[in-house]
Amino acid sequence: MNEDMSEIFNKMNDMIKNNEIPEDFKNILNNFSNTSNMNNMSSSQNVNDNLNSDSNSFNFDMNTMLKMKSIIDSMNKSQNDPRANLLRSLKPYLKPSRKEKVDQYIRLFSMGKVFEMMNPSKGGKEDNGT
Amino acid sequence: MELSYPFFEIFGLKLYFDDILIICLLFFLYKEEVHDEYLFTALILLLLS
Repeated sequence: MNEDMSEIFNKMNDMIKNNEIPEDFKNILNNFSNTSNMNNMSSSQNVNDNLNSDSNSFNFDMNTMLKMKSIIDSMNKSQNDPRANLLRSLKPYLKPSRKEKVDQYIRLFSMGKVFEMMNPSKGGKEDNGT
Repeated sequence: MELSYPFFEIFGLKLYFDDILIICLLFFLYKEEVHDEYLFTALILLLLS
């Protein structure tokens, strides 16, 4: 058994010296260096796949998080929207039925801003200040 | 101000105070050359409602 192992190690040494390392073996070495609890090639492959999918989902989550943040920021900015401010200032002078409509239109303005954020090719129009 | 009674009446069309306020605001925005379609649409819809 010991002789077999020594033979294998000798072969490995020769391969490393001659730079004749097969791809599979490189993967195994990489996996051993990354994780300490991998025993065979199939399990190492699975872990490697899991790591790759985790990193992809992480990137996806980061992108969606950034998009969500920009959308929330734009919705918060709608409180300083001059259009919404004008309609809000009109509210005390309107009939109760119209007051409800004003709230709806202000909400529509903020939704419009969100859609502009989602479709930047159509959006990006500057307000002319009201 | 009284919102329940018409401010004045032209050709049977009763104009209330808030109607006149919105019309004046629309006219002012137009004269000031404010190009905000959303605001104009909202005000016109408010006037028609």
